[in-house]
Amino acid sequence: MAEAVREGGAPTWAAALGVVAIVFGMLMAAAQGNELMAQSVIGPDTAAARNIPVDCRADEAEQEGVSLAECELMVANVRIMIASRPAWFRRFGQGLALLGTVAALGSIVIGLALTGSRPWAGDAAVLVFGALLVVDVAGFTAAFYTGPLLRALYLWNTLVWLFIHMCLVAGAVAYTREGRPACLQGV
Amino acid sequence: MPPRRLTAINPLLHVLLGVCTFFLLISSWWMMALPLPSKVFTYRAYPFQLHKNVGMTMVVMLLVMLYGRLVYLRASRAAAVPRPRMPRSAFVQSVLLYGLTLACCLSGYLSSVYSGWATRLWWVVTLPNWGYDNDALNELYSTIHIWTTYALVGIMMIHIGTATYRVFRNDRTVRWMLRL
Repeated sequence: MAEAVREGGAPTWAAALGVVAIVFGMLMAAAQGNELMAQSVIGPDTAAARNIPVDCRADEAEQEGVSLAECELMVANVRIMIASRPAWFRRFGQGLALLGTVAALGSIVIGLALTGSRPWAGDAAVLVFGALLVVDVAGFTAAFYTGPLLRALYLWNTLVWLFIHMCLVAGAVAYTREGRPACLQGV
Repeated sequence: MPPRRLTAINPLLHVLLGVCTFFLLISSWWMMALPLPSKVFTYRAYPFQLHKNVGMTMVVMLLVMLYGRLVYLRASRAAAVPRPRMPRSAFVQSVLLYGLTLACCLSGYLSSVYSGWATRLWWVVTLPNWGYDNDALNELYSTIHIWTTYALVGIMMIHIGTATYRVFRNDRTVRWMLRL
């Protein structure tokens, strides 16, 4: 039978919140890390931006398991990013992705602390999950001010993350108000 | 009781392995949509090197975890101290999880060895290129790499689902495994 309150006064659901934070923290860190790499690799003066003709060899395409049409579209895919992003977007995206990666790694540590009923976990959770929410709002706003191609690429993903992190913040706030360990009640 | 320091780092390594696995999954889907490599289209060079480096680092992390665990087990046996027993399903999941991760990393490395491309470990040390350009072997290890990856995704889903179920049920297994 599950207990409503564990030893130390922390509610049982705080551990569940911790595990959920760990899972989403791992996914967010990976996604933001990939975004950081994507913005770094796709530079403004690279081959795709200079309209260099695509050299798609049939044997190479076959080896990769793609058609010649797909091979050409792979370059078009990179051109979409280069042509659609405003000048400020790359630097801003890199900074935000770096911040998002760090905050996501922080949320994993917070998740471990919540699972282990650490007394400092609640306040730290509000701070870190809140930082992730800020990253989402900033990312959403930045994508909103690009063109339709990048909006289609970013807005939906960012919206999903925004709602996930909003739920985590709500859980963390509830924990600090109700689930403060007994030794810290009234502090 | 055997010293806690033997396995103290394992919860962190466990979640770091998770981060690396998700990163490799997401980044591989992204980088496979980049233009095929040529003299001018070099978009894939950095992501592929990073993919290999993260994969090889994961093997090192796995070996550190395994070493800590084995030393801990030996110490607890020598001290004849009863230790918390891992549920059978969790044990099977762990073996599959770590076995598939290892298979995934090794098959990826072997595929790279027979692709003819050199590997520079974190852009510092060039690993000895003991393989050669062999399309058939590259294809074979690449296929193993892909299928072990998808098997790993399946096991990860079961693993995370089970862990979440246990923590919602408030049993102490997850708390014990993830203790900092």
